[in-house]
Amino acid sequence: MKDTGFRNAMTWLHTWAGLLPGWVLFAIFVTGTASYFRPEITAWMQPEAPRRVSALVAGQHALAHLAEVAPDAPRWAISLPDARTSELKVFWQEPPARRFKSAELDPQGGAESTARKTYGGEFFYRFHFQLMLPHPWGRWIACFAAAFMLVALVSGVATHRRLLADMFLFRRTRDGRRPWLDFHNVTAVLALPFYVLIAYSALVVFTHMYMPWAGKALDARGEKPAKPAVTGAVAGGEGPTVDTVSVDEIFTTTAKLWGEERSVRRIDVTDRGTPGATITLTRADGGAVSLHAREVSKFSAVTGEPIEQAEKTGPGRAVGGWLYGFHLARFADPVLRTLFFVMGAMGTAMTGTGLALWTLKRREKLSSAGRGGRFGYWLVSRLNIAFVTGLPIACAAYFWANRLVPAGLAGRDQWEINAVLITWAVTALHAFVRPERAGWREQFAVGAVAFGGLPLLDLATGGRFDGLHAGFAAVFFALAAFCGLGARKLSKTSAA
Amino acid sequence: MTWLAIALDYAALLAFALGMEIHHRAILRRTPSAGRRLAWKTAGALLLVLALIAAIGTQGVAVGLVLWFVAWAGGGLVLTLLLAWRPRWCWLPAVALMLSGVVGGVCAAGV
Repeated sequence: MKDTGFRNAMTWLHTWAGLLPGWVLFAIFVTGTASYFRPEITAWMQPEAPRRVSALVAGQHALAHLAEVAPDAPRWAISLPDARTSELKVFWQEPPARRFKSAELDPQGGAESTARKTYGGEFFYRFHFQLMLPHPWGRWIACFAAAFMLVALVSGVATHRRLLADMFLFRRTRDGRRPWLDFHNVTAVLALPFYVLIAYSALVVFTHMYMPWAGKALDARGEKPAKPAVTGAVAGGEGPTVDTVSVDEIFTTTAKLWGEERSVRRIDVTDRGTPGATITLTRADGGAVSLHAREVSKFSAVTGEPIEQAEKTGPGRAVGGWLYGFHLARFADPVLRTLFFVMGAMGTAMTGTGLALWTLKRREKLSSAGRGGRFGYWLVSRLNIAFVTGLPIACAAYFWANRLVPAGLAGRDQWEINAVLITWAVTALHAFVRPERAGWREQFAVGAVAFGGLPLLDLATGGRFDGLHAGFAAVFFALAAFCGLGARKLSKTSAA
Repeated sequence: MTWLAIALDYAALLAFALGMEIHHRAILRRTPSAGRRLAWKTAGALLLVLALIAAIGTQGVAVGLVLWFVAWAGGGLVLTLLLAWRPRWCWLPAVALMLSGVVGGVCAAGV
């Protein structure tokens, strides 16, 4: 008896801890899954940009550009191309403003980049934790969703009667919620370690936001250095006086030492023009999960001597770095990254089937209990459509807009995002005005056309015949096939 | 070697499935004895250990561990779908993954 009571309580908890953040979690899973291929998405969306460029050449162009446009800036930063991206970005600070100015350069010629303006994969990455909401609301909601997800995972395990026995069991019965429940269980149980780590690491990433007190306590005790003031010789209007070492020379030496495969990924020059000026070079990721395992070389910009850095260690920092690194998965080689993408897709499926299960269960109750609870059913079922099919359609619209919005249009990058918002609003409206079944069927059909057309659009508008575009075509066709199957199934069987 | 680790992961799950009556019947069309089920489960556990060794051997402890459990989740999904639609084809992914490993190894050696 006691066991039944416990299980019932856990079932109740799983139902509501899963449903309330369910739509947000679904959106986070969709955009997070896409974010594993953030640089590749940007590359797909800028087919005219060069590919596989030399970090060494790009870095020299960037340094020359900064010397020209910002000779007096106290801080420079350069983000270099690597094996996955050909983007070259330069940043500089003009006091007293704290905010950095930036420019995107052509990594081969050194001039301002002429590739079409786009947020590329950055859009999915930002959406994943900011949810297109004003700062800091998106981050807070994402954190709550992650916390709810952990609750849903634990209560879900407690709810599941045959966790190990049904690990590979998918029963293809025609009706009822059996196949939905089976698929929900299979996708949840198989990738359980992944979900636990991904939700927990998400919470670790934002600890400083929702638990700021440790940092504040350290500040009060004077153990944490205050943020450096934005000064530098420039503030006085004199221009750099102490700049004896060429950044270019140090960069070139290090880049040659590290080699092209994992070259310099970032250059930071701080306190330019003062005796404390430093040059920091960060190497491209690889080989280790933890973010703290990055290879960094720091030099004095006055003497050119390397600066030994005190290793910040401690178990908390080590675990935190590992979790953050795991969440971003930048360490992964292409095979492992593809597997992470599959995990993300499984998480999307788990969330989607979970949402569907709520309505299926409620529908059984409604048909037996008569009146009451219809508004809740209507709201949840329509929100399900707006998110589960509406959001992917809106994402497809992002890629369509990338090729259809003229390359020279002012603010074209914003128009790509507007296309997402407008499309999503239309699909949501459609979901709420149509009957449930028709809503699903029609949106699946639109999804099939939208994704299926993308590879053709790509070929017609400057896409190349290479591995990257072929890979995107494969994923788009797979999504189209999935939507097509959904639409066909819904139009074949009679209304439930 | 990455492919080998993934193949071993999949083979381990297949062995576990063969250790369960319902899946054993679907794949091999006969009812397994209790001893046989236990044998398959033991084989599954051994293969899982081998997969872990291969994963860590290829990618180091930190990345290898991640590869190990991510590959078993992905492989498990493929296995589940095959069991539902084409149970007799369950061994195909294991062979395909092994072949990818061999082809990849030969290509790497050639370079």
